[in-house]
Amino acid sequence: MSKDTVSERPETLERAGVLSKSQLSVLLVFVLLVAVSAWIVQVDLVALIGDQSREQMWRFIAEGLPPDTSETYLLGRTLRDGLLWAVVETLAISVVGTVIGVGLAIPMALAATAPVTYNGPFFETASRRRVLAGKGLHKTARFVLSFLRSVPGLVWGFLFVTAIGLGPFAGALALGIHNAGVLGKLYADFLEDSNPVVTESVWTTGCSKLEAIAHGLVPQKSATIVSYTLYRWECVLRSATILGFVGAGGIGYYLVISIQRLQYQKLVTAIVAVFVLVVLTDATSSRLRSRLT
Amino acid sequence: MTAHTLEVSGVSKQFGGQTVLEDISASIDATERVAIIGPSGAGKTTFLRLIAGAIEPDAGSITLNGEPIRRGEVAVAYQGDALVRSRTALQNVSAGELGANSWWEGLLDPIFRPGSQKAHEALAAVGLEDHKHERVDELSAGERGRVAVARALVQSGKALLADEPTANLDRTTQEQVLDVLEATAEGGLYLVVLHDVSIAKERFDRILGFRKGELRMDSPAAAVSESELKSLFQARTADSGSGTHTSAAANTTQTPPPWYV
Repeated sequence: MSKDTVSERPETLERAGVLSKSQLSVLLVFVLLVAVSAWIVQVDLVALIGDQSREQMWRFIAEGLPPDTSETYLLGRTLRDGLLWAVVETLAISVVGTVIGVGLAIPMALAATAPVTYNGPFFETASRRRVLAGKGLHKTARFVLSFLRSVPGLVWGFLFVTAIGLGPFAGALALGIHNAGVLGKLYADFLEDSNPVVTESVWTTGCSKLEAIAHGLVPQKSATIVSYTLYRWECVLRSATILGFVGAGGIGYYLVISIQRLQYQKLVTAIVAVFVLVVLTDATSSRLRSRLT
Repeated sequence: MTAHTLEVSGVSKQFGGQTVLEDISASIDATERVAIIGPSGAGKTTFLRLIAGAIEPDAGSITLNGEPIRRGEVAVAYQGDALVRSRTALQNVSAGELGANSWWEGLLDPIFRPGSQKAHEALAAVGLEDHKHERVDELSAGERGRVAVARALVQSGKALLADEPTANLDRTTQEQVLDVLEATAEGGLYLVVLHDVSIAKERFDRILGFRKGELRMDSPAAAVSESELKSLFQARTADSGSGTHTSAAANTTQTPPPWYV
């Protein structure tokens, strides 16, 4: 084999579909990461498909069927009682939680958007001090948003139940606060990805900064913002189904009670209710998204 | 449009430490129709943005009738891609009136009550009356350019500036758009950035030629020679010549500010 043939070999192999050194390194790192994670998680496929687990699963299904559809379980004894009310309450928590989240996210997102606080057309003629103050506001808002979303909704739920007592309002607040952090960051990232020339073209009409933001900056991303807000509503609803674990209302209370008391027929009914609710919400959200964006 | 005089004196502008315009001076009379030409990256749009009050010069001054120019004083037709694509043509044109309205009208009107008489007339003037309720992203590039012109028409400016209003248009539509702009300028201050030199020579009184941040040509349109145009547009001919044009600006790469796409 000549020298030339040897030097050409790697390129030929790459062309033939064989991985390059860097691609191989990335693949090895990925495989290693999965292996270490699986070891930490104690993945045990034998336990999953073993005789004992199959027997337990079969017992759960056998004992869970038929689901409990008794009037007392579904409707309860009063208006604010029963599984169906819990379903409605879960939906209501998701709506109020999302509205609280959006309401808090908008001002924080604007403060966390560089073109609004320190960079871009509005600040071409700004003083150094003004730009520094804007940067400070931007960093602070980003930090607050990080904090809000890093605390899980369930933990916020526990805190609000402690503060204002058991009930769905604590759940709505918990999800609202957590999602203000998520939505605020998303909104700010979308707005920072806007085209500054569009904002400038509105700004040069001589309008106020607020008008230029409302008609130049935000509309560039309004479709994306609406789309992601609806998607977050779906996520909020799924989170709302487990808030009852900490007494913050919704269908989660029925789930946890059924599990603790080993009432599998009631548990299956609650799981079906959650499934129907999630499917209906996803469908509604998709239709709204396609209509509004 | 009432007669006004624009005075640009020793204007320089840098972005990120790099010179984009250097020591530009020009006095433009009220009745002059001025075309601004030059190769890409020459500083034409920056010059326009300075006159529009969108940015301020690092050195020098720009005055309108002896007073420093302010944002909103002149109407600007940006290129068609500076429109909000998710809004209708009418909503975009209505945004041109923001500077003339109170802030609360400005916040709500373009969404809930778009379309003053003026906005409808402006769209009709650029031949887009039938497309006024269409979203901008559904329009062709040429139609978007005409919406941008219509937006400038509704602004109550003391001068009319336009950034390549004829880009992506066929010759007939180019003529129509320039007719509309000229009629709106009504013999007042009228500055247009153009790529098409033949249009500049045919329809304008004076040509300002930019290259590498310098004003290399300032002549009556009729007096501009082919050799002058060649030296303006052909890089090697102009830059490696006698050295009379060398300067800090000529030796720098021209970059817009980091946020300017």
